[in-house]
Amino acid sequence: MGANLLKRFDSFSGRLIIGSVLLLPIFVLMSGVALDRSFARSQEVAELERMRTQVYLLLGAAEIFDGQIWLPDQLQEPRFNQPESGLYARVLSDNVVKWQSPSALMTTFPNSNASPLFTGQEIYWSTDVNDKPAKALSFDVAWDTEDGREENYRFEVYHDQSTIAAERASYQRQLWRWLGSMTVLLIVIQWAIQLWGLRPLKGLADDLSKLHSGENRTLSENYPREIKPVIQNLNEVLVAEREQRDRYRHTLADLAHSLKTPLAVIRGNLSSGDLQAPVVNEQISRMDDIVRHQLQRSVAKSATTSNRSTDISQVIERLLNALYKVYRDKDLEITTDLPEQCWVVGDESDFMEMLGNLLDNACKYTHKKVHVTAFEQTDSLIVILSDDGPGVPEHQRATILQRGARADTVQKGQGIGLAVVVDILSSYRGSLVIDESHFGGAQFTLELPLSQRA
Amino acid sequence: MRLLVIEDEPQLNENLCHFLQQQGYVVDSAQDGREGLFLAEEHPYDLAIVDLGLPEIDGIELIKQVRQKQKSYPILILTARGNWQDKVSGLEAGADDYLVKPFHNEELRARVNALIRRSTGHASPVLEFGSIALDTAAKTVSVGGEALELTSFEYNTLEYLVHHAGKVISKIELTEHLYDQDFDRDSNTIEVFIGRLRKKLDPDGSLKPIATMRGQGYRFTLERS
Repeated sequence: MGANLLKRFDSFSGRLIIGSVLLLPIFVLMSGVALDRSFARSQEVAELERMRTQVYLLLGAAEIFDGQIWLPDQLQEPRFNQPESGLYARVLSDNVVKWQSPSALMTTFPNSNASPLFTGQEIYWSTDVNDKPAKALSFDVAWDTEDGREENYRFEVYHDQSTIAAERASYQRQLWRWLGSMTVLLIVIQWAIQLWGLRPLKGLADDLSKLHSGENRTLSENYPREIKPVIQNLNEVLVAEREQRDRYRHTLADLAHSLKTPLAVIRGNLSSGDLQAPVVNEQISRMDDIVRHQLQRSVAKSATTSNRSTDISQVIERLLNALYKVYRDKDLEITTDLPEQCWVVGDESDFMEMLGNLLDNACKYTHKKVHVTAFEQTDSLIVILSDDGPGVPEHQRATILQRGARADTVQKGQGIGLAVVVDILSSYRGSLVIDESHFGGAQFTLELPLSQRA
Repeated sequence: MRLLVIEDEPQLNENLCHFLQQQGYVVDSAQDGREGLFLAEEHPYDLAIVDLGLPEIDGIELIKQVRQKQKSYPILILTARGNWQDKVSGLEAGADDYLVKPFHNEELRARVNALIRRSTGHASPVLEFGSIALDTAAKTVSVGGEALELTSFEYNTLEYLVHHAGKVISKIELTEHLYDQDFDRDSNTIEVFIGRLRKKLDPDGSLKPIATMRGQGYRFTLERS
């Protein structure tokens, strides 16, 4: 059951609401108690001050005649004159009541605090008068009588507390009513703010489900600033993903179509009864070429979506080390003139494919020497590969750069290799030029733009 | 020459083994990386052919581990994808050459021959020792320009001795590199082959190309010319 309850609040707004429902009452309770306390204290202070004033008034009105204390019949404070008014006063001397106010006619006083006090000392205490809670203030004075004696008097004022208690109760009622309704109001307002604030997320969920059902192709960009970057990135990924998917679909269609022809040739050959090994072999080579070409092209097509950088110098070094191993028998003289590091935006596997095919050709066709140079030149990277092989005849230089063209039918793979190089280069907006090298062989000059995002 | 073939595709594995056996090699084969690694570390091969996409242990990892065990025989990798990333990481792991699938058997033969020749320190496929010439590419032997008729076992025995010319090769080493595991090592077949080889190479007994080191084995005595 507890788990169920938790599950119900397993949402942003549920969590926020449960937080404020738990916290807000605690805050409200604490501030209510504090307000109530300070109200009671100020009531108390005011009460003491008022009673002190009454005592001083009585002291001012009192006179001594014939060794007797005397106070006027009608006192300035009307409540002293009216019986049961709630305000009472009396004067004692040696625990004997010498005078009491007319209001105290039917009043039973509690036992006065008997211990004698010093002159000018006051005691403020709580007690009961007529079985009602009351406050009392005692004030002791020593007066000289006419015959030169010193007489001690104690002035006492009692004040019924029921009105003050009622005042406080009413204050408390008001206080808790206000605080309670404020709490409820705050929670409701917060709930509303949350619903409003989190509504874009709900919209996003709807958007995504539309995307899933194919109703939309991208997410709308009308989202709050906080999640806008997320939406934009998501949209970019979606677009890239769709393009990739389209490309794959095209590639697959291409592949299927181009494989059907050699398959048809073989089948035709088979049904005509004389299956000739050279024919089958040729068609297998053709299919192999097609598959290889498409495989390498599929690697090459990620350039536009990739933000990664690749160190071309390192790629060339790695390839040359590998190729040196492969062509060890040829005893190649490979020399390089490369910068320490040379970062170009693009995928490592693309550059590896491109430079691997070119370097492999150079090593394959060269007599002894292969030289690789790379340098930057106004927003471009130039890579020059030269060898001292037979070179490329001038009339073949244009056709060799066309897709799938093959200048040398004896060396298999070269046509595909160069076609892939041209393919990848074009997706990077680069170019390839074939010349004669200063060794007398072929020279391939590659130009790659340093930044890809146009 | 004893070869190891590690290829997970059963048909291709069988074809490879069959073709290489036809070429006169002794071939062990494995169909996954774990078995392949076990064999590669266990036996002294003259060459291993390793497919890159293997189950259990990946081809590149396998090559790294074989090289870590100080095995230095040449390794030829087979790769279906044929991209440079794969080729370069294979070669960096310790392979010596690559072959992209599908390939012609002739190309495989040429690569295998070249790698073995290279690993024994011979650059040219034709090895000449005075009047005796051994063509490791064509697998033929001629004496004084005249071709000899040798059985493939005889040729293989001679080629192994020639590749390790000057070194003493024990009978056990010869059998390990030349024959299948179930070969009866106590038999005197090796002695018979050596005897026949001596007769064919040196009918008048003047060259004495193969010396018997008593209790140790055989040694090819001639120096390259």
